[in-house]
Amino acid sequence: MAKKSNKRRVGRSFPPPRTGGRAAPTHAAHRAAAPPKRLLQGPWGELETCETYLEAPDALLDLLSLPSQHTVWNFLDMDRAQILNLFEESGMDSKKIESLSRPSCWKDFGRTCRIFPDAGTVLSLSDREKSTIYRVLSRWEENPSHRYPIVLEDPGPNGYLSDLPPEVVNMISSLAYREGSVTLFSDFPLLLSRLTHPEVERKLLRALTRTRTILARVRISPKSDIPALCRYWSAGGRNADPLPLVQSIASTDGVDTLDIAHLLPAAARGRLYSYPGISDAMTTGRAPDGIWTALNFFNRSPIPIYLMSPNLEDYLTRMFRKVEGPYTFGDLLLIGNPNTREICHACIAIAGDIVYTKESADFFSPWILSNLDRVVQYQVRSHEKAEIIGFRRVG
Amino acid sequence: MSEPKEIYTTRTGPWGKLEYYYSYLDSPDGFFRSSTRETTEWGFIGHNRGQVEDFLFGCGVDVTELNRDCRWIEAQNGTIVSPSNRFVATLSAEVRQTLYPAHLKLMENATHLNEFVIERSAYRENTMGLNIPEEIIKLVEERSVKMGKKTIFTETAFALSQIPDPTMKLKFLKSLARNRAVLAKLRITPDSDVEKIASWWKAGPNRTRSLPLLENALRIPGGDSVDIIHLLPPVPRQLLNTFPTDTDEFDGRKPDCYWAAMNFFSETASNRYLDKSLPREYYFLERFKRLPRGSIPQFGDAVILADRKRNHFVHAYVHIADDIVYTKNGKGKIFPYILMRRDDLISRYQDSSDLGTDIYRLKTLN
Repeated sequence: MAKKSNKRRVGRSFPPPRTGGRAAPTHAAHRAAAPPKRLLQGPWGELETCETYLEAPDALLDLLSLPSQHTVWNFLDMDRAQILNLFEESGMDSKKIESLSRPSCWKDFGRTCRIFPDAGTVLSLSDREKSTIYRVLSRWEENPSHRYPIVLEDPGPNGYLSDLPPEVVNMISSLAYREGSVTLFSDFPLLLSRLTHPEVERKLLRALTRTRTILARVRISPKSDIPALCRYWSAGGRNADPLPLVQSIASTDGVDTLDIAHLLPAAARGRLYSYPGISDAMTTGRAPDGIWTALNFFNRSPIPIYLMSPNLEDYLTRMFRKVEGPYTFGDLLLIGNPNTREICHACIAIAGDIVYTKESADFFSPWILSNLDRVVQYQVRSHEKAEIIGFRRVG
Repeated sequence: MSEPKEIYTTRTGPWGKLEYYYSYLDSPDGFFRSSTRETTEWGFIGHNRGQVEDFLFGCGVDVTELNRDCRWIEAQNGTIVSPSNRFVATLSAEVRQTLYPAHLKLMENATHLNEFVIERSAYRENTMGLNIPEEIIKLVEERSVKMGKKTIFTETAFALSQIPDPTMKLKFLKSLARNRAVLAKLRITPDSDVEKIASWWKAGPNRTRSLPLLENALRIPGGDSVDIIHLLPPVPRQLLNTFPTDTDEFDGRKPDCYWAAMNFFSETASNRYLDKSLPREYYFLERFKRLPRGSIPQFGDAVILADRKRNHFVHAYVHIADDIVYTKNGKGKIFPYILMRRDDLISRYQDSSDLGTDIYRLKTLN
């Protein structure tokens, strides 16, 4: 598997790239009861899980400045004929192409061509038109909302955005488009143009930073197989710190649920459900990404290796050995894009299908627990089966 | 054997309401493998044999009898007297109550004195699930002594000599070193004052980025609960309910209460607080301001226990909420980073009536 060549921007992006998946009507903002629980049983014991959403804190949102309400498409190093050809390939009819070609919305700036489509045109774009054009626009940093689209959960009336005004949710639904197995949203400027109150803008902004995560608790009782449980969570001796607590709880009568954070290695538990801060990038100048997160799962002092680091493969070869599934606690799962045959992400197996991960190097991407399928879907965005290779730390 | 779990609650305050129960943390087995010595040794650094005999005589020890049944070791830096277990067994309650506290006070800067603090004077509670023989439990209960308000047991070697089984010896040492930790959750109810609760837990630098789970829980109309581990800053979150490891030592120095308190709000733990080149006050005054006496502590404030009469630093801990504190009760590897009730903590340290508290707050906070 080669490393991904598409270097992702580190740091602030707008709109903040977010993740998604299936509908999950459990968002805190509108749910009135505890979220539904799932029970996973295995060598890890009994794991009670439920899903929730994390929202970026105000301090992070304050760093974002809202973009113009005018949609702009920046095409770099493409001449007029190539752009028009792209429009035709997308299936656009001649009327739309004519509308986009008008001098009032088409500006050439040397190697950059800027097109300012009007709201009517954007609203009328079909799924195919959007996905074809936006895929090209996503090549360039000049189009942040296309390069880093928001990956949507089900944006429908009962979906995870249902605490927003219905007209906003409907508009998001109508502007969303599919890419492979995920639903994306890029038309943030147009959406902003329909909002009339700063409070709604702020609410929308915050809602679009939502990241779905899993909360998990291990059920421990005197009847639990404590030696087996300790064996699993100790990861072959690499994670002995939590064992005294497990043994202690087991000797207390009654079933207790222990938050999974207590069972993670020190550094990983310190980051779980947190957003990165300046200090995370202070010494290396780079924010942690999924690879960094996975490689440093057991490390108290992090090693500075990222997706694009030249020594990634060498480090993996020296410090890890390949393992087949079923994966166990602490195994590193390397995810490869089936289309490009490149490494695109890594995460850590926790229990069953639950993994520990950070979706991107973005400051709006917290450290979370997620499902492996969902992580793959987000990273690969393809209907083809992703390549997953398991690694286990040597020694 | 297991004990029923009782759930307690703190008072309701700006922190909300915490639900908690007690959990007993045992040091990993390896910690005590080399500590099962059955020979009693009383060390007197900087004292010669004559001075030691005078001291023991003053404490009511029958020195003539002792000399018939003990070994004297005169080393370069002091003297060690090793009485037989038979002699130790004959020490009366009165002599023990005089001798052991006086010895500890005399040698307060020395380490490895083999004394264990019996928190809340409740040794029996600490034996839960370990099957310690009843006669040993009674031995500890009867032969522990008071030092101010704290209870200590120093006759570890003598007690070990009464236990033939090597496995039981280790269990016995574990029972003495057991740490009663508080496992707590923040319980949010529909009538919770979410603004106040958020404000309480957000005190401290760069706090909001690590509290999205609290934000989430506070938004749920029906209420929710959050394990307190998610409400702590990164360093205590990493360390909570764990024991220090060899790699935590720095240049031969081990993390202690002071290190834990100073690093509470650090993004990553700094070993600067193990340095001995500058006095502790220097680091405190560098980052913290002392609040006027009688101030009410807020989340994250460092609290110093000091013997006012002797102007002597005794302990440092961090205030969490109500009477729950974050602490590491000593520099050894047998002392984990835990949450405790403040009163329980005080019972470990109150060896005189002159114990006072000073609250320190990060200078960057209000």
